[in-house]
Amino acid sequence: MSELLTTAFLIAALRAAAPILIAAMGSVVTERVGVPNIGVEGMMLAGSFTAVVVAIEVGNAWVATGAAALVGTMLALVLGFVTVRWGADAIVAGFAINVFAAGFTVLLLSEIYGSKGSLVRPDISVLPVIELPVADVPILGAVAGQNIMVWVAAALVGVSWALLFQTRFGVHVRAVGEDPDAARAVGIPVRLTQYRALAFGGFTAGLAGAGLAIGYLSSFTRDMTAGRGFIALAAALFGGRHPLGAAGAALLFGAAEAAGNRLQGQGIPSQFVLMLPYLVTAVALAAISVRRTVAERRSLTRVEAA
Amino acid sequence: MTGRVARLVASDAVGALIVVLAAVAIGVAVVALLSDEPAAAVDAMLTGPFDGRYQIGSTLARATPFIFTGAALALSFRVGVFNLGAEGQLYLGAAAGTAVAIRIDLAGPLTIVLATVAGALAGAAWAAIPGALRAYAGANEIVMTLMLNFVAILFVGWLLSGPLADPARVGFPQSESIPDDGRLPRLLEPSNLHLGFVIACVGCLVLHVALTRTSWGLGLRLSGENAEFATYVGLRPERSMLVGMLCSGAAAGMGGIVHILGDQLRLLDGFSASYGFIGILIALLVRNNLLLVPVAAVFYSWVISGAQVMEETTDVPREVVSVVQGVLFLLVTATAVTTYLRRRSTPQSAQTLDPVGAA
Repeated sequence: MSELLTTAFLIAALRAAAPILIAAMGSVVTERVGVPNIGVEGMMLAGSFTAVVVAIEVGNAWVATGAAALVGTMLALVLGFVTVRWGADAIVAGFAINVFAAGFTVLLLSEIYGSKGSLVRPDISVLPVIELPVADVPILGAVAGQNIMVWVAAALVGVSWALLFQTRFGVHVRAVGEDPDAARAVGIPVRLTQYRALAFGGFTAGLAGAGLAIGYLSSFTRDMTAGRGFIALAAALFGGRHPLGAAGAALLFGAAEAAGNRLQGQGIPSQFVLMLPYLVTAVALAAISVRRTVAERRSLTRVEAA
Repeated sequence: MTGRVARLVASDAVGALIVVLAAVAIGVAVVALLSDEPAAAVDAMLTGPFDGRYQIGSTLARATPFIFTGAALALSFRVGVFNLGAEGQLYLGAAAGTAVAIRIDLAGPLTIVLATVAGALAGAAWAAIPGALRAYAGANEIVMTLMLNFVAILFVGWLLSGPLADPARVGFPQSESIPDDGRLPRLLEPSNLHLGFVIACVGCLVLHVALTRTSWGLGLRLSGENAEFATYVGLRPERSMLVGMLCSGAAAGMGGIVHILGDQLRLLDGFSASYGFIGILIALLVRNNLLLVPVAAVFYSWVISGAQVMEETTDVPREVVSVVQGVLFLLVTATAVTTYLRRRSTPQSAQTLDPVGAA
């Protein structure tokens, strides 16, 4: 067990956590505005696909990342249109995005590249690694040679916090999420706020997809997000819909993924190893709900006793 | 009363029909764009699935798991929970039933009955976890069920590499084949249509009657539509939520084992064609009307069967289905608007009789 807590493990945990964390920041905002974005999984997948295709065709990882974020944003606006405008159920519409993205990426993959499984190009343009001269320092060594996506993720925590708590937009987001009618009554543009929050969610999901495809890995495989979008959503909920809490949760879930990778080939069946991030996420969500309920009951009985 | 029900069924059917026609039209347009021989491709897609005895049987057989998961989702929507875990429940149901059919030596149809019960129980048990957490601790059942899907599917993968692996073919993630006693009778040889299709349709009818004609069903629906009111009249909506989730999981689990006993005849790793997820689409397409679930499932099967025929006979890949799927999903969600308008224009007292669920 002790070998889990080495610098090498921390490096792997941060790498695995970065895409989850990035998408989780968007999920915090969409949860706050009251339009849950289940489509984050599909937006992330579409982002991964876009990033790899653009990286191959244009040959520039930055352009690829921008395109991925753009595609994520556009999908989020579609979701916004059907939910905010048409009043469709956000969960179902979000799921529609996921189904669509899962199938459409495979369709395009086979139409453009004639492959139904994966797209691997060794010469693909990927996002750069930032080398810092702290490789030999304990703990800090974990950030010495990380991909720029890890730094983007860290920066996004601050950005999301500022967005939510230091800007007028953040006030609007929180007000709309608390009570849309009250928000409308005081003159807050409810729909516009919801659209903008969703756009931020889609932007981060697309960015996370790019981070996964041309930062963490350098290829596209069908369904390669493998639930990471859902895990990001879980991180937002587990983290109390607060950027800092969600970041902590994303690190926990990323660590679970890295631990799983580490435990591979050590006699534990691979299925149980792969299960780890999902199991940790489910148990974390269950634990926090039960704890909250118990606390509520206790305070209730205290009130009754008084 | 009968006239009213007939009218509601009719309006659900008409709404679904419009959505279906629009999605198929868009599918046809995409096929025509992608193919070098659009006429042949469109013809293969639209008529292929019903071209002769064999194709008809295959299309109905392919619809069977979707009937079960469609019913599972319709049921969960009716009680106001999102069971996005039908996929995992289906896998565990299939695994538990397969274990019973292979390991327990029973005479004749008893094997089928016992395996099916085991499948339903396994599905219900797996659904009980998110169900109870949702009902009594307010946990987010959506994320919870999605996570548990991954756990269940990986667990079944492990079963097939160890405890349930076929000793004759080590290394292949599959179980032994189901003994003859445990197989559901075939109905339309040489196609693989099996008794499971009939079981599924009868099951939907029974569930429909239970939901609409018994006080138990009324309690469940009431809790799903208006928890506050349900509490006020002495019902316990939390309990209804859990019960609904259990029934939903049982239906999904049963769908899994019936598919194994009737169609595949052995448990395979990754055997589900997203049955659990497409169940959402099936349920929403007919607005959670259980009587119409089989119709929606056959329709969906027609679309995917058509795509397969098309892939075999022309140059269009079957992934074109994904476009139809996505469009169907979006259109189905869009019809929520008409639902919303209809609800608003219906007087309060009539709302509880409206077979439109949480969606």
